[in-house]
Amino acid sequence: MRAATAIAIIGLLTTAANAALAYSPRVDYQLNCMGCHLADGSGQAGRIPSIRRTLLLFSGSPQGRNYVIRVPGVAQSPLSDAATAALLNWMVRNLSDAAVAPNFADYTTAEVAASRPHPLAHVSRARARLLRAAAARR
Amino acid sequence: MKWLDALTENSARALARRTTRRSVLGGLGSMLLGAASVPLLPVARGADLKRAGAPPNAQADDPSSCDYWRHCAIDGYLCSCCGGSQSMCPPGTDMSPVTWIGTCHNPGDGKDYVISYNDCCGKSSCGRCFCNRNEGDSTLFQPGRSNDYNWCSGNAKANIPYHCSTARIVGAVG
Amino acid sequence: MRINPLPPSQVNMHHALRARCRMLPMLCAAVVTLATALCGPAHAVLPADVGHGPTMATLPVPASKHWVWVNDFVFPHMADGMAHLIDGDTGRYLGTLSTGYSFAHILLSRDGKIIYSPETYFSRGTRGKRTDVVTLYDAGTLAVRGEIVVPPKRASNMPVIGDAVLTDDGRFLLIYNFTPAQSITVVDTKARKFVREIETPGCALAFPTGPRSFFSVCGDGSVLLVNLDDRGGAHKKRTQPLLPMGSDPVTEKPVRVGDTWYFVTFDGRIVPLEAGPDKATLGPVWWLASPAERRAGWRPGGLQQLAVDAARSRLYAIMHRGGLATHKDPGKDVWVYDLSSGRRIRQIALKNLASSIQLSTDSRPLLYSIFLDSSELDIYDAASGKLLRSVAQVGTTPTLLVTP
Ligand code: HEC
Repeated sequence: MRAATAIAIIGLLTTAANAALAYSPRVDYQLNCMGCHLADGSGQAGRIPSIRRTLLLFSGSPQGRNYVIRVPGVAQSPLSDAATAALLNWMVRNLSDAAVAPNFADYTTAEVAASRPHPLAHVSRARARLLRAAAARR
Repeated sequence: MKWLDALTENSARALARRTTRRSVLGGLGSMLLGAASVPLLPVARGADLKRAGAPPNAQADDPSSCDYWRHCAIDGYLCSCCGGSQSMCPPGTDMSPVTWIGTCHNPGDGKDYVISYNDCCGKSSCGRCFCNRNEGDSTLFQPGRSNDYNWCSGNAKANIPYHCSTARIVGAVG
Repeated sequence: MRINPLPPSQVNMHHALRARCRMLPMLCAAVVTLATALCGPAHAVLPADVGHGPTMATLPVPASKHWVWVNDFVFPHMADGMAHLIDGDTGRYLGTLSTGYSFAHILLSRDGKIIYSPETYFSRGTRGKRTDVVTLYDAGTLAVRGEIVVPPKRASNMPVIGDAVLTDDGRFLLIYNFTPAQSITVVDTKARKFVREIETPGCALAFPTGPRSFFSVCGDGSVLLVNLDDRGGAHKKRTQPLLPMGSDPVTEKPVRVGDTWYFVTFDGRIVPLEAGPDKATLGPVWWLASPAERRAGWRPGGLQQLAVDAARSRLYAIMHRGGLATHKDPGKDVWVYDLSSGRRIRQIALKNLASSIQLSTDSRPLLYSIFLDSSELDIYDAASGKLLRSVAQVGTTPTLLVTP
């Protein structure tokens, strides 16, 4: 009886909490990312990379998408997997210098859920590898 | 079992935090000392709870008061008392573009706002109107949600001493 | 053990007598006259200081177990960090270190001969080129013995012990960096040089776990275990999320007994993390306050909010009554627990608000307490909770207390 009540209460609270946290991707970006990446995603030269240049680029390859989901700011934010996918799709379209192709494959909740539990051990190394691969493709 | 107890307690607490924190903190904030008093430091709000239930403070409108609504999670000297304002740095200091971000409730229009706590950098501490409120503050383990980092350090342009803190509106939540 | 650079002279005696005289002026006037008379003409002229004896006091090495370093980040003038050394047995102020911008805390070498201090300087005081160094001070003279230049990346934050630590063998000094990319600087104290920087993406601070190992805590509650080889090379392994990070997260202010780091949450749960070089597991979680006390608002708070007496397995916590978001508030109470049972064994009512507490590491421990916004250091007998003495004017914004 008590256990059942407790579970019911937890259920209720969880719903309430999720509802309270369901902001638009723009506000999610402001609350969780903008402090470091700035309003337009341009970051800080030499310290915080400009997403304006890299996010769309990286999102074009499976390795790049995996990297994007696993950088600390993304993997460890308090956002749900679904909210994270929506956020990344909003960022690709609103914080990129280059135009986004109409057939751009959106990030999905399942994709975020698959990569997110495996945080990167060496961000700079992984990033350098991606940039080299991108340069070679060109 | 202990874990379950802890978890339920915790969830209830979390909900309380989201629903009632404003009224609780509205009172707590009034304990902070403003320009007229001794500067208080980050943990300096005192254990005195007598005023916790006090009515919302008129100083919620005054940007040089710690009670000012935008200051709900600020940690530092208020730029409004240092020659700047809640959104501008004092003369001759650089605003750190990188910072931490929270939300505050504006009792004036009943709306919640996203607030950016940009630090102003490049001169020694202003030393006036110290204010520390910790609504929504986490720990150093979650940098984007901690007011215990000095944001004058973590950036190229303003890798220089901390002077004071602003509380700039990013936009309304919603 | 104790130092007394001034010989007890006639002058001092007169001073002492005169001080008392404020209370009993009539009687005292007579005593002072008598003392002067009795001491006779041999002492009528004070000996010269100039040309005689040392001009600088020195300290015995190693330090007394009853000394305490009060680290001070001097918030109103952050370029001017300081560390103050106090003798807990007498309340004497023994000496100062001047430690630069956004100072966190000093570290004592294992043999007690050297004091390490990670420091930041700007070439023009509050502007100009930034240089970060580890300054080496002689523990006997408090003079600079050398310095090791490190990358100018030291995190600037409310000081915590995890900002800089020594590995258990004393060989490597680890410094937390935040740019905001996160990393650890490794300094070889033997070769006295910067070795390397270890990326710790998403993970903060350093907590030693053995002769050559430490962990950082990641934003999702997982733990990054790092092993150093002889040349400071690093081998990393990240655990599953272990530590609570949600609405009641662990603070960044844990204390250590042996292999266990005791974390505390905002609401007052103790979360023990048993951590070795390549494994970390959670122990049983317990509350500092009873359900009734928690309803009455009791919770931990402060900066250096926990202290441990490892020999007797005692945990000391600064407690206050406050609501949500009061996790940094100071307290006027210290509650003492038996770590093996989690049972509270004593409550100490402090004389003053405290944001930091620390214990000496000997068999008759002293309890030190100080408040960030005051500069009075209070010294208690840790076993009885009795106030022994208070020392006024110790620094500006005292942060962390470090005992030998
Ligand atoms: C505390 C500062 C901080 C916050 C908050 C933060 N990031 Fe980052 N982010 C960085 C840094 C620094 C890097 C560079 C990689 C590194 O060293 O960790 C980075 C890298 C990235 C990258 C890879 C870009 C590249 O060119 O390599 C993406 C994508 C990203 N962040 C997205 C986000 C998103 C989305 C959020 C919010 C949910 C976020 N970040 C929050 C600091 C932050």
